[in-house]
Amino acid sequence: MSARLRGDELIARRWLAASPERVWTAFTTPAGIAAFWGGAHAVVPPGSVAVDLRPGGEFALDTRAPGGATRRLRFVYVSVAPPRELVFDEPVTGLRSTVTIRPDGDGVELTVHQRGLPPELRTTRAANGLASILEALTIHLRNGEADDPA
Amino acid sequence: MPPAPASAQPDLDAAFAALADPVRRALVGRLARGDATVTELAEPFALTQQAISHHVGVLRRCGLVEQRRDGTRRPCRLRADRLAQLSDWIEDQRRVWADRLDALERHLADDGPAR
Repeated sequence: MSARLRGDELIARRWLAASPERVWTAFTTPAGIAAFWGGAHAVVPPGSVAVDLRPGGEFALDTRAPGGATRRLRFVYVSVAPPRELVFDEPVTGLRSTVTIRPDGDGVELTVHQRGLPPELRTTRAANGLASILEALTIHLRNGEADDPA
Repeated sequence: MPPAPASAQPDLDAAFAALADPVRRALVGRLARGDATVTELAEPFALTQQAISHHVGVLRRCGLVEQRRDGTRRPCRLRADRLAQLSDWIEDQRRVWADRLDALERHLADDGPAR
């Protein structure tokens, strides 16, 4: 993991038996994105994927849930460094995702980070960070409102 | 409450967008330690009360903060249930990516030559 990503939220890491170029292609071509972006629980119609692979370019796709609900997802590329690193923002939420592809043995180690998360939620274990906030809130509520500074 | 995917909760977008601002994150951090009026919230900041009111308004509209009337005071309170939804969303993102990477592994295994 690269040091400058330290402190961001690590969402996923996976070793994959493939070359960096193939993983890069999967992430940056409509056919590749359609093949995996939906995971097991949503379908991405291949025709819905649009990729403008350059900084400032948009990539967009439809996800169709089993119930038929379809949503258009849009992202904007921040940086494009084949076949190593892809950074994109989701403009609506401000969340930034960084996909890093690092050669490792016979394959690659792929990591997905998200940043732009509120610091209260950005700890290694987000739930714990939140728990401390909720604990402070609970203590405050237990003490009642009389101790509010006037 | 099982977290729905973010795609089913467009209202969460507003909460995350609200928290993309450092002042508003600081306000949330302050309110986690206890309720406070706009005047009290403004104290640590080099910002006018008007500016703080604006930020509180954003947090209120996305449901992260509620404001009640207490005589002449209008203290703000953090909505813990709403913050919990955001935390659930992050956990949900983890699951989504784990699921995606499973699918990516299958795709790489099925498609194209082995290296």
